[in-house]
Amino acid sequence: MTVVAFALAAAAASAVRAGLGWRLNRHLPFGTLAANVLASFVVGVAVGTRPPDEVGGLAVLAVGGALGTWSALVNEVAVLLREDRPTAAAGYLAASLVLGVVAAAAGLAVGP
Amino acid sequence: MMVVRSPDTGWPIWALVACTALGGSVGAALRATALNAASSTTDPAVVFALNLVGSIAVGAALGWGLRIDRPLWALLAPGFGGGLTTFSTVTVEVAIRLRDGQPVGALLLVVVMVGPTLAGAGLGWRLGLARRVALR
Repeated sequence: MTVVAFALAAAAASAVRAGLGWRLNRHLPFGTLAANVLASFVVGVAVGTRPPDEVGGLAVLAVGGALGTWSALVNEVAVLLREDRPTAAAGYLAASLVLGVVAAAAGLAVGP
Repeated sequence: MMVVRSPDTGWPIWALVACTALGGSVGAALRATALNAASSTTDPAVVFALNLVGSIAVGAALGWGLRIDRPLWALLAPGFGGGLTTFSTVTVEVAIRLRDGQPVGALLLVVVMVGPTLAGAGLGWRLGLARRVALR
């Protein structure tokens, strides 16, 4: 039952992430950026408010993890590099990491 | 009832969303199983391995010629690759290290996580390209 609920939640999170990508990934992948920053905040709250090894904590981690994505991030950076746009690649990577860590820290600060 | 289709490929949007959701649930279930068996649910070594595998897979799908708005791409890249890999676990681990006064550990984690996975994306792309040529 936990597995079914978990798979459904991760499926929904993946669809939301892909939807953001379809809508917002244009000149730069703003949709992926938005999903990753949002996911960082969600997982920050999950880790900050409860021990991450609890089942509930694992579920939120899994869903928050499915909302964000590492594979799209590095492949988008790789594509920007292949398109000879090194400044855009570096800026996108740096913006993702800085905003993601700030969002994660904000999420952690919500906890006890 | 009117079916909304992708302007690029003509595939119904609902089918692309379904493929993404299916791939995402399989990838995320694998990730949860791996992290559940690890020492902690945010174990950086396991997250690194998952992110490396997912980044190579999505790179290969790109090199192979799969593109946005196709069912196989939806299943493999935003679906399976997106569900298997995780950005948020990395940023939370970095934020915890910064909060606990370990800036060197935080920087090291970022460098180790970004370098090989970015190289893996490039490697996957090359592998996909070679396969595409071989298929012709």
